[in-house]
Amino acid sequence: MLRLTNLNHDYDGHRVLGLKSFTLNQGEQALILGPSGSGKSTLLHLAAGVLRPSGGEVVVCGQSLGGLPEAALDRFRGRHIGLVYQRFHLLGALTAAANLALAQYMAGLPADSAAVSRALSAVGLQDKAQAYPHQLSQGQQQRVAIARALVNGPRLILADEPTASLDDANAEQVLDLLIAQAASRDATLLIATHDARVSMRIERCLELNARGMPA
Amino acid sequence: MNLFSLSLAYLRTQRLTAALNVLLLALGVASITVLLLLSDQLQGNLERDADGFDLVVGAKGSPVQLILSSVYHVDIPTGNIDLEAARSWARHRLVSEAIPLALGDGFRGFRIVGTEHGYPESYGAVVAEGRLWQASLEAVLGARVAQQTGLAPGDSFVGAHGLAPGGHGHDDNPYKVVGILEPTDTVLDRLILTDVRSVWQLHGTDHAHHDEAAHAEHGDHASHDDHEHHDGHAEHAEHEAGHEAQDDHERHDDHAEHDEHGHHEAHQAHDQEHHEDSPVGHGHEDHAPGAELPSILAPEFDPAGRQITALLLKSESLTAGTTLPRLINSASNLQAAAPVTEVTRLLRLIGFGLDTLRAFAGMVILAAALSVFVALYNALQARRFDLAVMRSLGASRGLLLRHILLEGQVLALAGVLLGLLLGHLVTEGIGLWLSNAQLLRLTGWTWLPAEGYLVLLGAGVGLAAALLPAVGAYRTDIARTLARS
Ligand SMILES: Nc1ncnc2c1ncn2[C@@H]1O[C@H](COP(=O)(O)OP(=O)(O)O)[C@@H](O)[C@H]1O
Ligand SMILES: [Mg+2]
Repeated sequence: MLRLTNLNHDYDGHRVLGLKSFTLNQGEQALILGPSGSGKSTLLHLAAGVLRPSGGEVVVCGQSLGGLPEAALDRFRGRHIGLVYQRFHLLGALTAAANLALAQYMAGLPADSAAVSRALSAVGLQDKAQAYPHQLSQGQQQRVAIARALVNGPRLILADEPTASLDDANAEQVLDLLIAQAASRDATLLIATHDARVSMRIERCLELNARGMPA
Repeated sequence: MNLFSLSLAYLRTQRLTAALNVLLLALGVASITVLLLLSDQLQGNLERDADGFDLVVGAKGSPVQLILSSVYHVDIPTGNIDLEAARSWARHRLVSEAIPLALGDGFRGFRIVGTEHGYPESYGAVVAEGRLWQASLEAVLGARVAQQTGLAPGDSFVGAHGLAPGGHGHDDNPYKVVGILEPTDTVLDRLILTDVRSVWQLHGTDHAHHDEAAHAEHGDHASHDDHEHHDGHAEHAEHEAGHEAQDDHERHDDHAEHDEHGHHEAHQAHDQEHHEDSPVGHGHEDHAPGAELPSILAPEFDPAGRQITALLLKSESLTAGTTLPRLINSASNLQAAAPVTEVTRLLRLIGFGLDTLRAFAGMVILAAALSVFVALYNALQARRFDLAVMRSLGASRGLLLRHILLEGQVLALAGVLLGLLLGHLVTEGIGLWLSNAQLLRLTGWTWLPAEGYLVLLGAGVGLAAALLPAVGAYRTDIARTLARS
C-alpha cells in the first residue's frame, strides 16, 4: 500500500512536484507518465524515502516515512521497498548473485542463498549467477536488477524508467517480469516512464505535467 | 556478503592500484622493520660481546680500534704491548680478573686468538665436543668456525699469518683441533682459541727478540737445551719419548714450546719448584677436563721480552671503569679503553645514520598514505553511484563510512604485514650475507615489541588515508546521485 498526501517538493525554492492525494492499494499497479522534468523521479524518490519531501506525507504499508529516523528509514526501505532504475544499477565489482546477496546484507537480513537462487530463477537468469554485470547484456542486467529488487520480498516496487535504454524485445520482457512478479507476490508496483510501450500494459496511471502537477 | 568481502571485491577491481599501494606501504614498513631489527641486534651483539669486560688494555692508538680489534675482533690491533707492563696492571687491586689476548694469525678468515681458559669462560662457553686446549698448538673452535670449516677434533690445520685470509702459512706448525664450543651467540663463535704460547711459537718476529733474551738470561738451564732445539717436525715423537724422563710440568712446557728455541722452557723449568709440590698432577694422564697451562700472568712466569696484543680486565669496583683508564693512560705507555664507553660512542654514531634512514622510511610510508588516500578518493568519485545504490538497498550512512574505512584498513594492514614479512626476510638475508663478512650476527627470525607499534602505525595510516573519502561516502546524497544518472 502506498499513500501520498499533500506531497510537494521544492528544489532551491522552485516547486517541482505537487500532489494532493494519490493512493495505491496493496498489490495494485500504476504508471506515472509525463515529459522529462515533470517530477517523476522526484516522486519515486519521495515514495522510497530516498528524499525527504518539502511538505506532505508518504505512507508505505501503514508506516509514515516522515516519522522514521534516518537509519530506520534506510532499513525500512531495504526490507519493504524494491527499487529499479534505468541503468547503472548493478555493482560492477560483484557477480549477479553477489548483487542480490548485497541487497540482503544491506537490508540487515540474514544471507539466504536459496532466496537469491529463487529470485534469479524468477527472472530466468539462474545460470548467470556467477556472471559479472559487464558480462551480461543490458536486458539481462535489468533483469538481475529486478531480481535484486525482489529478493527481499518487498511490499512496494518502484521502477524509474526501467525500459528506457532497452530495445523492444527486452523492454517487453522486463515489463512482463515486473508486472508478473509484482502480481504473484502481491506487491504494489509503481513505474515512472515516458515510454509509450509501457502505457499499453498498465491501466491505472498518474499523469504529471511539466510543472509536476497531475494533468 | 559482508563489508569485508565487499571491500575485497572493490579492491579486486582496482587490483593494480591496490597492489601498488600495498607495495609502497610495504616498502616503507619493511625499511623500518629492517632498521629496528638491525639496531636492536647490533646493540645486543655489541653489548653481549663486551659483557663482563670492564677495560681493555692495549697499545696506544685509537680506543675504538682497540675495542674493535680486541673485543669484537673486526679491526686490526693497535699494536703489541710488553707482557711485563701489562701484567703489572693485571695485578692491580681494582682488577678482579685479567685475560691476555695474543692476535696475529687467522685461518680462512677466522681469527686465531691466543688466550687463556678464562676467555671462553667469560662468555659462559660450554665445550660441545672434545675439550679445551691444554698445550701449545692445540686449538678450540668456535661453533661457527667448526660449522664453516668442517674441522673436527683430531683434525689439523695450518694458521695463516696475518688476520686477513690468504697470508702465508705456518706450514711447519699445524694446529691440532682438540675441541669445539657450543654456540654462544657471541663473537666467540667465530674465533679459534688457543694458548698464548701457540701464537708466540708461530710468531716469527717474537722469536728473534725472544731468543736473544732467552739465551742471555737463561743460558744456564742447559738441561733443557736438547728440547729447545728440537726441530718442529720431529717434535711430537721425540717429545713423547722425552716425557718419561721429565717431570709432568716440563712436559707441558715442551708441548707449549715445541718449536720455540728458547728461553721459555728454560724459564718454566726455573719455576718448577713452585709447582712441584702442588698436589694437582700435571701429567697428560691426570689432566682434569679443562686443565690449563700455567697462566702467563702468574708471577712465576717470566715475561721478559714477551709481548701480547691486549689484556681484558674485569673489575668488581664500580669506579674502575673511570679510575683505572686514567691511571693506565697516564702511568704507562699503554692505552686503556672501556668497552661500554666506546660502544656507546659507536652506537651514537650509528644512531645518526639509522635516524636518517628511518626518516626516509617514514617518508615512504607518508607517500604510501597519500597514495592510498588518492586511490580511495578517486575510487569514491567512481563509486558514488554504487554507494547511492547501497543506500537505496538499505545501507545506512554509517555502514558506508565503515565500508570505506575498512577498505583503507585492508590496504594498510596488507601493506604492513607484507612489509613486516619483507623486513624480516631482508634482515635474514643481510644476516646470511654478513655471516661471511663476520661482522654482525643478524637474524630475521626474531620479533620485537616495536613491531606491534608498526601494525598500529599502519592502521593509523589506513585510517588517515580513508577518513576523508569515508566521510564523503557518509555524506552521499542518494537522490541527487541517482537522479544524475
Ligand atoms: N538534485 C536536484 N537539484 C535541483 N533540481 C533538481 C534536482 N533533481 C531534479 N531537479 C529538477 O526537478 C525537476 C524534476 O526532475 P525529475 O524528477 O528528475 O523529472 P523526471 O524524472 O520526470 O524527468 C526537473 O526540473 C529537474 O531539473
Ligand atoms: Mg527521471
